[in-house]
Amino acid sequence: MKNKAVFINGKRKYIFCGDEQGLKLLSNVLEKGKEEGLTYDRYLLSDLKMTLLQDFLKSQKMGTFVYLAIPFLVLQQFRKALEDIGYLEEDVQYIGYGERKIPVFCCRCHEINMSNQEQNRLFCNRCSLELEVSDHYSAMHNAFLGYVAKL
Amino acid sequence: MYKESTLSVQISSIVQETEHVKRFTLEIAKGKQLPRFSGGSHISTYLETPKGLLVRQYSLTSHPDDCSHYEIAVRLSEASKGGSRIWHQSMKVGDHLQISYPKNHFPLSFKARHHVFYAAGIGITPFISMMQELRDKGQTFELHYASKSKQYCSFYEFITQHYSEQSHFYFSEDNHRIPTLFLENHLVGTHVYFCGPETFIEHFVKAAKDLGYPKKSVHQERFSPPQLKRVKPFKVSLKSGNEIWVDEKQSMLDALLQHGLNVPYSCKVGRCGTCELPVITGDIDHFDFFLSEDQQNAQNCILPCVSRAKSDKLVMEIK
Repeated sequence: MKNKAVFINGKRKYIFCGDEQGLKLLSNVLEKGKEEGLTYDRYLLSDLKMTLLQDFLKSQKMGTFVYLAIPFLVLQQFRKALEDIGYLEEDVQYIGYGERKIPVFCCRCHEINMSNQEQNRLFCNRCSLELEVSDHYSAMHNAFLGYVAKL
Repeated sequence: MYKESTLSVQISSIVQETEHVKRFTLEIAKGKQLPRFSGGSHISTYLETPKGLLVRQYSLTSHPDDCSHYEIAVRLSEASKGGSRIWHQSMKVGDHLQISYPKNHFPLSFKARHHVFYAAGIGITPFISMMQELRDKGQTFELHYASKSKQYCSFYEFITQHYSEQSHFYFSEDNHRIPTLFLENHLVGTHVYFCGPETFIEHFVKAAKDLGYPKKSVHQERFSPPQLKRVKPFKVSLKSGNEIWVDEKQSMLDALLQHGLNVPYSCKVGRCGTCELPVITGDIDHFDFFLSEDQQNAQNCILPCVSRAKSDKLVMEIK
């Protein structure tokens, strides 16, 4: 998940997708695509709902590259939906903006808690254990490991 | 000579599949089971010959869950250096031989939403077990299979009997070939798999790349090392101070083995990484399909089964 889109060459088609604010963040890569005369679709995701976008993305052919720019708060659920369709990490650039929450995995009860980016410690929502946010990231849980803060 | 741990098996049946292809069933001693394998796996077979041990790799074509026997299909190669000729002309029912445990350098992707197999000739073999695995898992797939004619088409009856809805045949005698254009129609989430002669694989891999397929969606299985256009001899300098000459006609791995170095190896086509060796200095010309771009650019390791030196000498971190 990035803050800025980077243009990727060599794809048969590009999809620039985002809400109004997100599409502004994609203007540089969209312009580059236009300049080079590439095949592309611009998709305004006004209601930030996945249903319609999902059907649209499912109907795309191999070699399609997606730029998705939406608030960080909903980016993860879209990412999961794209991966379920079959988009690989190499097929998509996820661009986020706004408030960013960090998922934290509770080492005791395995609850995923959402923490503010600058927050170093938090109490687990389920078991109330005080957790210290580590830099140990799990791709499987899409969360950072929260250790016991006070032993 | 380097030898991995092996299983002792006996040939229990031989079937003439087509004019040039024989199918061999291999069984372990009574009461024992062979290890289960995953679709796309192969074994190394060890053949004792008067000239020494011949090691050849063949895809397993039996059902991955059936541990009572393994099956391989061997095409008699016109350019055979002994392997396929021995299998065809000397091996009999009842013969014993050593085989490796199953290995898989061509596994099914667990991220794929749909699998498409492109096979040419004997390149069909890994797909037989892959299709069986996918059908058991209830996943979707299709097969595009090119052959000279129905008569020369290995597993034709088996495929039409079990996978008629998923399979499409292309016989060159009828001027029917698989167009790379098909790659344009696959939906996102499709993974493509290629197996056959090198030109066939190259052609399809390039077409997929040109369309923008991500590398991880494109899978290939090679039976032979890449054909290099320009090959030059070079010297390998070892830590012990010894120097080994690698001429144009041999691989660096063969030269090292000839000089008695116990270098582990397996596929000999640049796929598995078993023979990877550290390099101290020298420019490497990488021809493998194993190391990442970053690893290749680092110029500090080599797969000697296919890769060579660009410079006149490679200084190696081995004794």
